[in-house]
Amino acid sequence: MKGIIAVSGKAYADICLIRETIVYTEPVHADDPEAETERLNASSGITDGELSVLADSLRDGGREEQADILEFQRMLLLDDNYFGKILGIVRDEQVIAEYAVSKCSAEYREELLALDNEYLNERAADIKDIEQRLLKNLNRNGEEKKTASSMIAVAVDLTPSEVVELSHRDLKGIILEKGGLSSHCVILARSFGIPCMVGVTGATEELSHAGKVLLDAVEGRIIADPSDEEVTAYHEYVQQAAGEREALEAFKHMRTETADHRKMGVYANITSPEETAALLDNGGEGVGLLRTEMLYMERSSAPSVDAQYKVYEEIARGLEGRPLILRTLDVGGDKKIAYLGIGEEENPFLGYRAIRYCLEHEEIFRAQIEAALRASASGNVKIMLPMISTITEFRKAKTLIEDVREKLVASGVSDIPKASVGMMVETPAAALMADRFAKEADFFSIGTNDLTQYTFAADRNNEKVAHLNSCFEPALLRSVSNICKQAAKNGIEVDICGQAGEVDELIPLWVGMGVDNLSVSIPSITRVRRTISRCDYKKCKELVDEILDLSTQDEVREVLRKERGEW
Amino acid sequence: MVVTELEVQNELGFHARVACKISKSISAFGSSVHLVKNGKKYDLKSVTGVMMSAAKHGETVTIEIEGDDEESTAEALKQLFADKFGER
Repeated sequence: MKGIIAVSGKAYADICLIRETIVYTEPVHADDPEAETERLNASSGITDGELSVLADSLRDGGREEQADILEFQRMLLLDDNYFGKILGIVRDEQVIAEYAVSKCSAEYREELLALDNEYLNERAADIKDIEQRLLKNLNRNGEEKKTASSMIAVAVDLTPSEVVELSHRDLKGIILEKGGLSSHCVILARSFGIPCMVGVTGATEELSHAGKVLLDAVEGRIIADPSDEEVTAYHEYVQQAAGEREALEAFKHMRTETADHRKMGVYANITSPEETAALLDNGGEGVGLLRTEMLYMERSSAPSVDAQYKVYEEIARGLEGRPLILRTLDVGGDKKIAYLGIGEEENPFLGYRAIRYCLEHEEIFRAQIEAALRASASGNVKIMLPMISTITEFRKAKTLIEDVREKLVASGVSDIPKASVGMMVETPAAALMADRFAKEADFFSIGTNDLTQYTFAADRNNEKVAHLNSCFEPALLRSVSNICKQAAKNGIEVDICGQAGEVDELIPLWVGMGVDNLSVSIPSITRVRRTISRCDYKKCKELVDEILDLSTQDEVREVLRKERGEW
Repeated sequence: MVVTELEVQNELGFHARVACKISKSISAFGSSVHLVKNGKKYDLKSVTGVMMSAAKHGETVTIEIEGDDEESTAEALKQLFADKFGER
C-alpha cells in the first residue's frame, strides 16, 4: 500500500483500527430492545472509563478546565435527562441504540444552541463529543484491541481530539485514508513526532485482517504483516534513529548560542495548546508562530472573545514566561473558511487574505485582539500581523490594536500594557520597505514560504514551477539579508518562521545574517540548536558575503557544500 | 415543601464543574429539588437541569425542595451556595 508521507519516520506495531461511526437520523426498528439497552449500557461503561482516564491525564497536565468538561460529560451518562432519555427512546420507540443516541443528542444540542448564553451554546460541542464516543463504543466488537501495547492507528480520518487522546496511549504511527498535509490532525502528529501517512486509499479495509503493520513513512510504503527481513531492516533503522536522538538529547535544555557565543533562540511553530507540552519537552524557547486559523476552522461561526481567550491564555500560561508570538487570522490563500464569506477568487494567494480581510472586518479582528491582549496578563504575548504589504496597512492595524487596548483598560479590565506588535515579512513589498517598516514594527518574522513564492511569482502548490520556489536562490537570500540588516540597524528582533529556518545547509547563512530566533517544527528544535552551536558567527558573516555575490542557486548549493563544516 | 432563595456567589455562575458538584451533592437526598426561573422548573439533581437554568454570578435563585428530608436537603444546599461551590 502506498500513500503520501505527512510526518516522516517509521513504526512497527499492532494495528488499532478506528472505525467511522455511523449516524442514523431516521428511526431503525429494533427487534430486541433489551439487547439494544444492553449495548447502550456497555457503551456507557466503556465511555465512562475512557473519559475518566482522559480527565485524569488532563488534570495531571494542569488542564483543569478541560478535565472539568469531561467530568461533566461523565455525569451526562448518569443523567435522567440525557442517558436516561436515550434508554427511554429505545424502550418506547423500539429503535436501535444508534438512533436513540443521535436523536436525544440532537434535541439537546438544539436546546443549548437556542439559549442566549454563549457558555451554554458552546456546550453543544460537548454533546457532539459524547454522542460520538457513545456511538463509537456501541460498535466496538473487540476488533479494536484496547491493549497497553504500542499501536498504529488506522482510520479513514481522525479528529484532532482523537489524535490527542490516542497520543496519551502508546501511539507509534497514524495511517489515514483521507487527511490533507495541512490538516489539524497532521499538524498534531508532527508536533508529537508521530510518523504519519495520509491518502492511503483502502487502508481500513485492507488492514482489517492484519495483525501487525510496518509503517514506512520514509520510503512511503505500508506493509501488513511484514517478513522477518523487513522487520530486521526496520530494527536497524530504529537503532540508528535512536542513536541520532540520543546525540541530540544533550541539546534539549541547552542555551542556544553559536560556537563563538552569540546568543540566539530556537522557537517552535504551533497551532494549539496541546502542543505546548511537547514544545517544552523538546527544549523550545518560545512560540515563534502561533497559527490561529485552526480556531476558526471546523466550526460554523467565528469563535467568541472568551473562546479565543481561553486558548491563548492556556498557551501563554503553559510557556511560563517564554515568548508567544501570536499571528492574527491568516485566512485566504489556500486556507478557506466558508462562513467568513471570502468567496471564490481567481488568484486567492494574490487576493483577499489575512490582514487585508481583517482590516475590513473590524469586528473579527477586534475580537481576536481583545482575546490576545487579555491573555497577555498570563505571559509574554506578542502580536504579529500577516501579509502586510504597505506601511498604511501596518499603521491602521496598529491603531486598531491600541484602540482595543484603551477600551479594555477603560472598561476596567485590569492594567494591560501596550502590546508588542510585529509583522510577518512575506511580501516583496514589505521586504523592499524593510528600512521603513523597521521603524514602526516591534519585530520582524520572515515567512520564507510566502516570501519565496511571491518573490519568484511561482505558486508553491504548482509542481511545474517548484524549481523556482527555492530558498537557495540568491534573490531570496538577498531579500532576507536586507530584512535582517534593516532590523539590526533599528534594533528590532528578526526571526524566521518559514520552513527555510530549519534547513540545515541554510542555517549558517541565517546565523551570518544576524537572525535572532529560528522558529521551527517541534521535532527539529534540538537539531537546529545543534547546528547553530557548530556555527561561528564571524565566519558565517563572511560566508554570507560570499554567497550574496553568486548568481544561481546551483552556485549557492555548491559553495554551501564545499564550505560545509567550515563555519 | 421548602422554598428557599439563594444567591449564586461564585464568579463563573453555573458552569460545568458547578453542575457536577450540585447534582452530585444532592443526589444522596430523597427530596426533589427544582430551581424555578421564568415559569420553568429545572431539576437540580440532573447536570443538564443545573446547566440549562444558566444561573449567573450575583443572581438570586428560587429553589423548591419537597420530600421527607427537605429540611436537611435545604441546609446542604445553603452550605453549598455559601461555599461558592468551592470556587472563587
